[in-house]
Amino acid sequence: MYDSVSGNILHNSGSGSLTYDGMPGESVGIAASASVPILLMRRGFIVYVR
Amino acid sequence: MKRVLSRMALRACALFAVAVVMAGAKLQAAVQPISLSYTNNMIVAAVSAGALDSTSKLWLVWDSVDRGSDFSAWSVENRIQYAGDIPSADSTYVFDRSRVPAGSVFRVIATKMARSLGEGGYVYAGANQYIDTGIKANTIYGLYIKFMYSANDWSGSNTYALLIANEGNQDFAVGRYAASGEPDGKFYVKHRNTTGTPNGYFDISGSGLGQVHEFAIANQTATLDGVTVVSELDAGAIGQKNLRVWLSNGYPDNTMTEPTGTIPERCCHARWYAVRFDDENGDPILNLVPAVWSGAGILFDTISGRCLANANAATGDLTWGGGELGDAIEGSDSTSAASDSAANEITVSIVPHWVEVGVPAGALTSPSELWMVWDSEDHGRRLEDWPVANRVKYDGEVSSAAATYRFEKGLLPFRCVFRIIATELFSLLSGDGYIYVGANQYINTGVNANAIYGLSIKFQYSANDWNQGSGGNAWSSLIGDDPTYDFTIGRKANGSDGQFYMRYRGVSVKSGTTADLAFTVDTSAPHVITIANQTLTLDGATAVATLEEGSIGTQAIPVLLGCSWAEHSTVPGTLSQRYCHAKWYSVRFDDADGNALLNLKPAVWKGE
Repeated sequence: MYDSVSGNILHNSGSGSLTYDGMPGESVGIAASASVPILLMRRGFIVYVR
Repeated sequence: MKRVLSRMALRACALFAVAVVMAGAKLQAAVQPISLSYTNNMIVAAVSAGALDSTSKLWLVWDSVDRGSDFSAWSVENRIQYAGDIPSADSTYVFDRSRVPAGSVFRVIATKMARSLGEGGYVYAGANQYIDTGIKANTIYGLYIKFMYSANDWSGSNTYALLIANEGNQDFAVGRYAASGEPDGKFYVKHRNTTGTPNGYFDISGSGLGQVHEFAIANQTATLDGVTVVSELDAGAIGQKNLRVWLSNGYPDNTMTEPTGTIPERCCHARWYAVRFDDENGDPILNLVPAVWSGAGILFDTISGRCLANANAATGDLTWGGGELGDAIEGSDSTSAASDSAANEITVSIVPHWVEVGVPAGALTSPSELWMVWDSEDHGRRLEDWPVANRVKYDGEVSSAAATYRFEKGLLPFRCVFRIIATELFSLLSGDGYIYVGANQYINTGVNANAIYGLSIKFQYSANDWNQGSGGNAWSSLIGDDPTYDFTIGRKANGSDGQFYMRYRGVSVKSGTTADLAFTVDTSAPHVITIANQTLTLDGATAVATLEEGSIGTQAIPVLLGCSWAEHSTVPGTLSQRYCHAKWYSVRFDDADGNALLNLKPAVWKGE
């Protein structure tokens, strides 16, 4: 079951796999894995006027 | 006018910490494990009631190797404190798994704040109170105790009232003895003793009574206040039996195994000032200092970080005295087992002109997508939480094999936070699609009953299991947390009357009657049950319009689909094992404001 609030998939917590029936419809992507957040810093142009 | 153009580029990477916390359930008695479950996004710790109080904290800790249950052994940089409330009731606590680097081992550790007592401080073990050190006698080669004896409990005869021991008669013991009647003033010492005849004794009666004494065993010699009382002890550990050493008590006489049933309460009442055990190399394996924790006396082990309290739950807390409340001690209270953070994580490195992404084999399955996302702040692991304009999808095939992918670094603006997110595609089932929850199957929604104020479920019931559970007045739950004391919808008495019942906020439906709400649900078609505005409807028709105000349940226990926690239980973790099989079409839970807490739709993912 897909929780559209949290974006999580809820699985069977008991024995075996859950079965299903129905026509596959809308495709949704969930975060299977992700990198840690990374801060990218750059110093831009510095212009001096005399 | 002269213009000087200077261009400098500084690139740095820093790791950020984002802890997403969500409230949940309850804690267990001291030093009992916390159960863990985790998904790609979160780590959920379920703990049971009663062990934690307002001084308690809950931590997610991680490292490249397991550092055990001692909180202090984990690096300060590798800890996240749970930021929400820690109730004494059953609770679940959610941590953001993104803080745990790939391949790390993690635990959830509960701690409490203790205050050391300093010089002169002691903890008093009185009538029928004793302390389990958790250290086995056959691992202890030297010991030191500082104590003041005051009295002993006594029952029966021909046995010992023990000051410190693993087993009272034929291994290691220091205690009082009487063949009949009350013991004399001597404390007998047994060391690796299998004969029952003491190795020696010391006498602290008379002027010695009521004084602080120091007893030690080292180098095959026992001393009291520095004076030898028994010499030429056998070499080796103080005991031969694999039994834990207790303070102010010991295991039943001649016990060769862990005691069961009632422990003989022949306790030596004493003030405990210090206790130290050493291993074969003379290194301390236990170092107890008196402290105060939640208003009670405890002995804090500076080696393991454990807080040792009275092991006899029937006789209350240890008292304390002397000394001044000193340093705060963060004591480990309970801990989860170590868990392996699955290595299906993504690594990122920055090379000239590119953001290079390493994905280990098996981390992704087809179809998958790889995205680079960025913003001025971190939005976590979910793709949908990042602005649409700040996402770029990898323009190529993504496979399940180990691979390196590249994104153009020039896409990233100055001073941004970025992540690489892999998404796996699954399909929502359209129309009347459903997920079938059958025999011995259930889904843990992770939402506590006392957080839910409205719900809507569409389901088609087919059958129920009954024989696996136990207890009278039992339920097979279609949905619920605790069928006896809180919320459930399900069948009673094996469904013999063909009806479904509901319990709401406790023992009855609270609709002005004392009975559980009864209604008929046939198996031929789906049905919809809603609860909103104190009204329950079945297939659109009002069944009860006088529900009590408030959440559907009063307990902070996660609601399950297809089953419930054990009856009469306030501790999630034990299932009733009585299941309702059903096709599930949709499930929605709302909070007090009508906002969705959960909105489940049937979906297919990886063929399931």
